[in-house]
Amino acid sequence: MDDSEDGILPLINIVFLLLIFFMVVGHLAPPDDLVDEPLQSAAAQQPADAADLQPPLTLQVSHDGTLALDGDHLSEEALLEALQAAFSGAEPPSGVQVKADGRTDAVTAIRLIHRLREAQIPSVNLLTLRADITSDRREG
Amino acid sequence: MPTHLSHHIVNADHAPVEHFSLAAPAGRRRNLVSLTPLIDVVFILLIFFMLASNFFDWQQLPLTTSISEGGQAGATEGLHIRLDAQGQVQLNGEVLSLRRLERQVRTELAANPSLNVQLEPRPGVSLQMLIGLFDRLVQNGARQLNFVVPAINSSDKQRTDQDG
Repeated sequence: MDDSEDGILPLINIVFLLLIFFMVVGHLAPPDDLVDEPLQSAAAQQPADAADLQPPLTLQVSHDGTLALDGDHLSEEALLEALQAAFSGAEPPSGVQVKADGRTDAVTAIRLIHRLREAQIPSVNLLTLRADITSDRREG
Repeated sequence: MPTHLSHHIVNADHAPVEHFSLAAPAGRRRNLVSLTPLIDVVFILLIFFMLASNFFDWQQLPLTTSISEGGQAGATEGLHIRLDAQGQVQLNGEVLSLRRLERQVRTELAANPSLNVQLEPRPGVSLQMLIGLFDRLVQNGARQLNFVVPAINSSDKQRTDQDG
């Protein structure tokens, strides 16, 4: 009895360390069901920390142009209505983050972002992952 | 003083050490909560956090966009770059290789850093291709970058709606 508990203590230590590591380093976020190939860019910036602002809404755009606002699939008209409602409410979000699939048609995506800007939405940003431009340049 | 100390230690050694060390831990162990349920819960928490957390480091790319109405509006001032679905690039209507485009953009922007650069994707271009070209232009010094797409011809759409 004593020996088995002594032997298991290092294991528990490691498991605790792993648990704390995953709790601190990873962030919990709803999974992206529409974005399979995230955009990559070398020119993007780290988002500024704005603790006093409401968190922004996330708009997913799939490769075939399907839209989802904070996980809810909707059409473009319904999206604009939902955004108008959200931004005219009591505590408006700080902006809209567009998380688009890399295979999305560029004309469709840019036109969508333009419509969001025309709808007076304060901050519309594209979300990207960091890309390494040097390897990209060597190919081209 | 040293004799007193050694005497004290000897006294401590005289205490029934064997009996003390055997009996006391056994009594403590019995009072401890069993570790097994705790380990179960910690394992479940660990697996939850391993599955639920992601390590993507999202970054923001602010874009400025506009709709080209006439088609020739941006051609006279600044640089108008057009990207088509085959990856071919045109600068102000002239087909260029990517390398020559980069060189030309760099020299033009060195002469006039506030030059307006317009980037127009043709239909069929993927967003990743467009952002890739955008990255290269930013790397070559472009600051005033504007994405341009042709307008959906709304008057045509209304006409077909009325006809149908």
